[in-house]
Amino acid sequence: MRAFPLILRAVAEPPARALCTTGGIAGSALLVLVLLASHRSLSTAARTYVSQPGVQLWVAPLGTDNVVRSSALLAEGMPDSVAAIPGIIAADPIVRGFVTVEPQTVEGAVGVQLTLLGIGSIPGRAGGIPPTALRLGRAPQRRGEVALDRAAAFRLHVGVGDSVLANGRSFRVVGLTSGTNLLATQFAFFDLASARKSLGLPDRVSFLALSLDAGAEAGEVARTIEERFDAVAVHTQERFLANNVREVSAGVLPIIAVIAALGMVVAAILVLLLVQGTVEEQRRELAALRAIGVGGSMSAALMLRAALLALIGVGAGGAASLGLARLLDRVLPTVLLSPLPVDLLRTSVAFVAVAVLASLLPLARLRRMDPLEAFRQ
Amino acid sequence: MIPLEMTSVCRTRGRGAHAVQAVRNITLRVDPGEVVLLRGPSGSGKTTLLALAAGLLAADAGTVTVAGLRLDRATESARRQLRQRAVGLVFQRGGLASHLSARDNVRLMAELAGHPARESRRQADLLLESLGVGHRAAQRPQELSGGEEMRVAVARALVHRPMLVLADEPTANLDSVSGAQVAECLARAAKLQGAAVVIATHDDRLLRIADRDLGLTDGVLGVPLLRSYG
Repeated sequence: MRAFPLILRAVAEPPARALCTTGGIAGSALLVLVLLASHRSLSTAARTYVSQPGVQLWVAPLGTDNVVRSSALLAEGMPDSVAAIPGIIAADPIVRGFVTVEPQTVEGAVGVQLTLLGIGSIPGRAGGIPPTALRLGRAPQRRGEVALDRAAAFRLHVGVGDSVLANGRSFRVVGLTSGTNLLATQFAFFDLASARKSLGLPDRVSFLALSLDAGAEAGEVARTIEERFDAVAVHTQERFLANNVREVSAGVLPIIAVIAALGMVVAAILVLLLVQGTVEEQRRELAALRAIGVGGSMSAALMLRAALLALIGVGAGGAASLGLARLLDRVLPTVLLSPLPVDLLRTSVAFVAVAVLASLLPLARLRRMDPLEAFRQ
Repeated sequence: MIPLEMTSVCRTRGRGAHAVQAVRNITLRVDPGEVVLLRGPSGSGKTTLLALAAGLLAADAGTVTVAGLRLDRATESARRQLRQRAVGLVFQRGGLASHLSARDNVRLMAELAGHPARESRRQADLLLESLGVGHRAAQRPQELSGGEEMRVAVARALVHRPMLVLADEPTANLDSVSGAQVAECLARAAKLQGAAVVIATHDDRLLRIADRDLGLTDGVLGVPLLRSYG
């Protein structure tokens, strides 16, 4: 393929059309990347809370396998009974429930109301704000304090030091968290006692987060708990994490897949039109190149150009998605995008494959071209 | 080795009611250094004959042998390699790649023939210089005049020192000066490189460089022509 670099240049598209196609591909790639990034944000939010340091097992009511959707509660007195089982260092109680939060304004003023996923835990113990999530301020340490997800705080127009009403009770905002936005709702962190009171659940807990001895075998401990207590399910940290990710993303995945597929189809059509246009408009030139002995490398060159344009388009779309993520983080934190290099890599591979496939149809026409076209005036 | 030998070659173009026998029972031999003109009216089969000689079309009957290779027995790949190494083609409109400079158009042919990139560039520059378009080497075809473009096309056809040069109406769109220059280039290729040159043309001006002048009428090769078809 000695002459390939020259052939690659010889079959170039008109620059303006190549630019338009690249722009179109960049737009499609941006759409796909934003969808992937928003999906990534959802699963990140589900992971962030469940990734509690030092926790190996989660005890939940039977039938409840995630934090996001659950209604049942564990039996009264269970935390102490579970903590007494050999191999368990700590069984930290967690209460969860939906709370209506609004800014505490002057009487009579109507503010924004949000329904947030309230989490109550013992300050300093497992089940509270994971260290990676605290963005500003501190975790609640006593009654009357709350830490809000920053997107929720943005929508409520409150910040650290402001007061909010949660189920009608007054709380002071002491911290803001990130990575805790589930889009449909956001996390709000309370101390255990405040949460119980606000949710009307005295002496009850939703989950237990278990920390085990270094020598304890998690499976054995889980079996012991399930044998000893009725209507209880014990999940490993990994399983519980996967359950939460599934719960938040299962509903949106089909929509994301459909829109991403549409983006791919648009990119494929653009590439097809570009290659088709090149083949049609430069018929005589391409026929002459074939006549002088340029063979399959001409098709390879056209295909490579289509792949390169797709790659440039995805690169531009990727850069735009990073810029958009940063911009949204600053001006509109309710829309959370977390683009990752792996998403860019997968999108690049998919778009290049689509571009190559899309170029096959016009290339088939090129192969059927009458060699005498080169001689025709 | 004989650059071109055709024996009893026939070729039909089109199908069914539209089928036309473009070339009928043609026997032709062109020796090294010889310039042969093929003259005839439009549709007489000149271009079909060139395409058969280039291995771009297959003969329905008869044999075509180029530089010792019988084309009917050769694979597509072998015919392509033959065009890369032993055949030079000049098209009526030049047929140059519009995205490449004049130099790169010529280089492309040299590289297709297997010459190293640096050597190809040197050869391209030398040839363009000798054809009087060295100063236009960096220009693209659309930036050249008709005569310059055709001389670049001739350079492309000659750069790999082919045994056989096939030119289709190389002077049709040129003024008399440019036409004479292009004719001179082709004649020089025949004499200096020992190439066999077959030119399909209407142009009487090319008679002065021709060793043989053959007429083609309705696909039949005839005696030297007495009149112009221009």
